[in-house]
Amino acid sequence: MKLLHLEDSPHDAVLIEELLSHSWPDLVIERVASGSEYKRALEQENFDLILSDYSLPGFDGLSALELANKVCPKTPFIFISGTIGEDRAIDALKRGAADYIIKDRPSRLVRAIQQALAHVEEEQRRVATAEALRESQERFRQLAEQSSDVFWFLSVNPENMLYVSPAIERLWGVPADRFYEDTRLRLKSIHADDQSRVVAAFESWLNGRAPRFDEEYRVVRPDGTLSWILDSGTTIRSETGEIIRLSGIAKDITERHLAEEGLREQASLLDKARDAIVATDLEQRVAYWNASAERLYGWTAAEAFGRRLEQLDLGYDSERFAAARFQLLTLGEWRGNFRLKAKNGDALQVESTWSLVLGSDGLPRSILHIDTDVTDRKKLETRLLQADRMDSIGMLAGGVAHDLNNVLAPILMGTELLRMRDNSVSDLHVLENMERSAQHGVSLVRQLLTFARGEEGERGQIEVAPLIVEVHKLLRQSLPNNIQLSIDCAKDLSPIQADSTQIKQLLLNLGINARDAMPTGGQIQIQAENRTVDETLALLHPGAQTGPHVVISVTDSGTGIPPAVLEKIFDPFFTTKAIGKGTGLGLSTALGIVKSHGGFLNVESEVGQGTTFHLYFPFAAQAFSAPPTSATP
Amino acid sequence: MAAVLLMDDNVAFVEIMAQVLTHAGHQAWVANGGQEGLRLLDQHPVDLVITDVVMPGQDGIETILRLRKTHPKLPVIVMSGDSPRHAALYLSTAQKLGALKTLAKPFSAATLLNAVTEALHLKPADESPKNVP
Repeated sequence: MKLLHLEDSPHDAVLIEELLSHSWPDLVIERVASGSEYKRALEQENFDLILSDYSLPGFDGLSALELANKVCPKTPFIFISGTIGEDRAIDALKRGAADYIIKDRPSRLVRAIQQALAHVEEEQRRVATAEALRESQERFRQLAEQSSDVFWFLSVNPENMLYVSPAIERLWGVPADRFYEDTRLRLKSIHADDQSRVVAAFESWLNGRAPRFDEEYRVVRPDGTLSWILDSGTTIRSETGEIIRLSGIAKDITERHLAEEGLREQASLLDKARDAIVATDLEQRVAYWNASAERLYGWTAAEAFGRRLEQLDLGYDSERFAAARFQLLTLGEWRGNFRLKAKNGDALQVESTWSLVLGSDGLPRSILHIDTDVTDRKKLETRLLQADRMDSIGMLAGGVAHDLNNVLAPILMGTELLRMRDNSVSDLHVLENMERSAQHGVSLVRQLLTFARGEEGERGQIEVAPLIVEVHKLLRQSLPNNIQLSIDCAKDLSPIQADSTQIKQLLLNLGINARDAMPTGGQIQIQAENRTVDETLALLHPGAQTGPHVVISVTDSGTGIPPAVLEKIFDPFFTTKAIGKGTGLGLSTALGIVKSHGGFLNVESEVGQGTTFHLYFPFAAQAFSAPPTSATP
Repeated sequence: MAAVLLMDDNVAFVEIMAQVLTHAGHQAWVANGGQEGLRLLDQHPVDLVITDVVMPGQDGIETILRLRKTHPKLPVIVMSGDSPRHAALYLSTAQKLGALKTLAKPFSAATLLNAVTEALHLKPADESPKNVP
């Protein structure tokens, strides 16, 4: 503390310094003894406190006080003097002295100084607080008056508008004054569709039932235009917890709302797209997932949201995925195919386009994925390719059969000729072997021709059920005991136009194949029912007709056929059986027979689960009207 | 006893057929294809022609057409190794042109001999085609 002491008596000065230094160890006292010294000190330095004698030679305390009031009005001034009388003391205090201490009772001085300093401090604080408040009010005013948001304050009981910022005029289209006149005008201008909801929310907030008021609504301006408003309020409570004020901010969200509406419209358009449209961040975490994506992949938008594409268990090949991602990030786009699976495990084929979406700064922001479902198209392509291949193979097989017949003809007749001429028993045996081999060749060629041309033998209207019963008897004899054979024919089976020998042969072939697929036993079931072939199914099987068919299904519980093998099973001479165990003509002959009957066949197989062959034959009535499948007149 | 002309580009086969026929007491000439067959026919009158239908160069149909001009009543048997695209058409055409019988290769010696015997006893009464099963 720095103190200016006006005192002509060095004795008194020492005493006072001694007295004060106990309470203020850091005390610095500047003692002046004359008016001129006092004046100079006041002008040159700042003091926390001034102590002054009342009467001084050539100067007086009141002049000193006057001077101090002028130079440093906030510095407390205390008189310390001999007795001066009550009137003078009061006069001094009136003139601005902080206190008056009699030298005879110096003990009061410490408290007087403490009080004076405290008073100064208090005053400083008060001023600072007042200043802070003023600044804060000014800031709020500026904020409130300049903000495009509407600030409002309401008192409760009675409900009065205490303040509403001028922005309300722009949003409500009504001068701000009117809102002071009618406190509820704010709510009265709300669109009829929103009003009851918002007023109810406001009331329940006002009554303390709802903790907050947070409503979006439309305001209808006097000119009929609309503003979208987000109005949020908070309560101000008294110390006893009573609501005394309500305050709030009403924001203009018209643009945001229009943008949202636009987005919603876009989203609904995207939802109408047939393609799966997926937007992700650069880490391929899903941010948008349209309705087609839900339909195609079986994952809802909510399930997909926030998860990385690889985490969705869509069966992405990780190497191809990484390669696609690399190309996307380096070239900005990637196009290609993926074999995927839906949530329910269904296999899917998609044609994908991944594009990098750039922000306004030209930096990559997100990734847009558009996936076209080509599962059915690929299936159809595969079937058509297969049909094409079968046609080519059929032509080739026909040519081969012709050549083989020419090759076999001289051999067969030659052995016969030699047998006619030669009587030696040993040669006869050789000739018989040669003839048997050649005959075997002839029967192979015949099968090949059945596949190629598919037409042989007598056609008639046949009942399927008795035929299956007959096949059951024949097949039963060639099955081991660990294979159960059952048949199940619908009662209303329609007759088909067919060569019963061929159909029997066909079913026996499938039965034997089924047996061979079950080395450790299992079940074979032959079923038959009427079924209508629709366009979708017909489309998948080139040459198939729509309409009623009899479907004969041969199911086994065997080893199943791997997909790679499944593509080739109808190729002539394709066999998985050991050399000499199968000709590789069984299934190609089966296909030829079914096709020559105007039908088609379909295989379902799962490795480890078994295989089902569905043979479709058109109803007899329909078969008559079917176009000829062979060039034979 | 008959004289038979055999025509086929499959020479091995017709040579064996010729030996079968000879063994049975017939007389046989062998021609590699239709052109050579018609040349031979000019030199040696025969009772019966057996020709393949699918041959390179002059095929069986053309051969029958030419043969009909000079030998309108000569019995003809056609044979085929069966080609899915054409055989059926060739055989039916040959029948319309008066072929008595069709033989599907391969066939046995007995079938051949029966066909020859049958053909010689069933000469067509006139030029009208005769349908043979």
